[in-house]
Amino acid sequence: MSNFFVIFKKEIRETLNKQLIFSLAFTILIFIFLGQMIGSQIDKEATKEVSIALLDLDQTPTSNEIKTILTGLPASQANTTENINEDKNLPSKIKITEITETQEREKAIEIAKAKNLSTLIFIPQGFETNLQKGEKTKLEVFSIFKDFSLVAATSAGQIETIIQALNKSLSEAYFQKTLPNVNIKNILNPIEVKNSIVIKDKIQEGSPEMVIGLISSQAAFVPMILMIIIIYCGTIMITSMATEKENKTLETLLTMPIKRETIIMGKMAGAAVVGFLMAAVYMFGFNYYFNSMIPSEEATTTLTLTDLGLKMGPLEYLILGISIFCSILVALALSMFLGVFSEDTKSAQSMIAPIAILAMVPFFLLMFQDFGEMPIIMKIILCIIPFSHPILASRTLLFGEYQTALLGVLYLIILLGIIVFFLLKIFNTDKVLTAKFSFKKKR
Amino acid sequence: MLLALEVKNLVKYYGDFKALDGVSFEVEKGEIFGLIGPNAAGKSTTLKIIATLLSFDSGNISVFGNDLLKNRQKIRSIISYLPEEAGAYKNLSGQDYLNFIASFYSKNQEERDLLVKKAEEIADLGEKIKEKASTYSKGMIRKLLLARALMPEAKLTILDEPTSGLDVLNSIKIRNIIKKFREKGITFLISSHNMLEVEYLCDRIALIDKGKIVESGKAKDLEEKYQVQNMEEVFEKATNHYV
Repeated sequence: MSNFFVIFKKEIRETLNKQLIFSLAFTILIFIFLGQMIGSQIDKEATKEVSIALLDLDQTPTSNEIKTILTGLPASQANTTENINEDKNLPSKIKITEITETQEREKAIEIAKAKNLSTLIFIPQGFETNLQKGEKTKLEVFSIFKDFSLVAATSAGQIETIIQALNKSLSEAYFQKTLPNVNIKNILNPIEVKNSIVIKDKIQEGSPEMVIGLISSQAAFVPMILMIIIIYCGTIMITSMATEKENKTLETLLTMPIKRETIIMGKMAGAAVVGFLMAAVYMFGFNYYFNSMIPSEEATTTLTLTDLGLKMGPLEYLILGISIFCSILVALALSMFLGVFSEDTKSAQSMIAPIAILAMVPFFLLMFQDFGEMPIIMKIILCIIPFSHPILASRTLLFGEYQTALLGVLYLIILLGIIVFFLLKIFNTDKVLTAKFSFKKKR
Repeated sequence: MLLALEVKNLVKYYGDFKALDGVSFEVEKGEIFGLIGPNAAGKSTTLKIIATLLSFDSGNISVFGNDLLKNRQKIRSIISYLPEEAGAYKNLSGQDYLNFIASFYSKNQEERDLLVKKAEEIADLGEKIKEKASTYSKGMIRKLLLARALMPEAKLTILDEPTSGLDVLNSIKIRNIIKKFREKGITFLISSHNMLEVEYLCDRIALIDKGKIVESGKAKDLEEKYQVQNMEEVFEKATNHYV
């Protein structure tokens, strides 16, 4: 076995201990557990009936019509039966509970609270009269919050949809009475828009917002993976160096008949494997958790980038792979450099901060803004940060543009060469044993 | 005769502090040479420089005819070094640790197994050798590390305070092992502040104080020269450090 593999194997055995394996297994279980809990809760919310309290002081045919619009059933049955609503914009089940015990708003709110209803719709007197005069009429909606969870926010959001549906239906009903022989829907919405997107040579039905949404959600996968891998590999690398120093094993290793390059490469490769493993576990966990937050109905209708013709071929994947690989090597080399300056494992924990920041800056900047639209200074900063390049490559390669990706790879290789050169310099002197960051002022 | 080690006018600064001030000594092939002196005298610094770990400001070092400045990698293949404060990889068992080290000194599995077997005998840790080093006591770690340092039978074995942390019986055992290895032709450079130990173990001795070699020779000759009973008294007289 070559010296490289001996060090590589030792690094993995040292790092991948029982505690780490247990913590990784525990992490996966936690993500699966949380995902299943939240997923089933969100699915339940998506199909759950919306219970609405209604206080109708108008008691006119129009106010009665509101119940019909909401439930799709005659007003006489609406407050007693659960119904499947045909209007796709409305929640699938709406149950109306009409409050007849009082005519006061405040008391009606108390009753709604007592009956555990999250919304109270208050129809004031004169509702129909105003509509008939062609004036704006008031409808008061009270959203009763019991907590501030995501689920509560979803319920509150549904009220807005209900009001929009009411407005539309009431307008249609009003015009239908005035102009009985005309298709009211055509008058209210005379233009029908058909959106198409042209990407490369492919025309696909869909809106630009949909493409941007897809790019930012699906193409965020590469930067997300990269950020996590860099942070984990970096942490493992720095800790490995710091542990060697703390346990006083580095001195022995440096007097062995092993080339310094072999020590550096063996340690980097070991840290990379464990870092990749940890990142894979966390990515699986995150992915499972976030996917479980999408209601199962939506998940089946999601459009992919491939449907839009944004597909990478083997060459593009190869270039992207090289770019990611080089950036991880840069992260490992930088981390080893920082690890040399750590005195012990405690100080190593803070040493990861610069690497983490360098990994996070391009991830967040490129998530919210397009590189081409950024000010020149920001572009320069992003180009200097090594971890921006795989993210930029993942986007430009989708459109078949190679130059940015290849220049990025070239930059990463040069940068890696420079860092390894300085690492070797340090390893060939006693700085590898004596170097440490000192924040004390020199006298 | 080819010298195992030749150190000439070695000077080393730590910042403004002159740790070694023209240290010179020679170690003959197959002898046990002891470097003795009090704490902070420069023993460990000298040994670390010879073990290719630390740089130096001036002077010359030659190990079996190899200039240290020019042939560091070659020298690393003929020396074995045990630092005073050394540790083992906590997540590896003693056996795995020895296997790891043996890999650098063996060409195949058979050679490696032989080296590990020999080291296990020196360490004499019994079944504990299969347990993680994190469960070892200080003395057990020291025995493991001594076994590691002796295992490759390097031409020049450098031991910094070899019996530090060991009880009397284990110390005697280790001294006997070192003497046995000397019979195989291995040269030892040993540092210690335990002068009686060095007197018993070493063929020749150099006394170091404040970064300078103040006296060197055979223990008996030095005792005769200073008209004293043991090396501790030699050291007192040679350095004028009277207690």
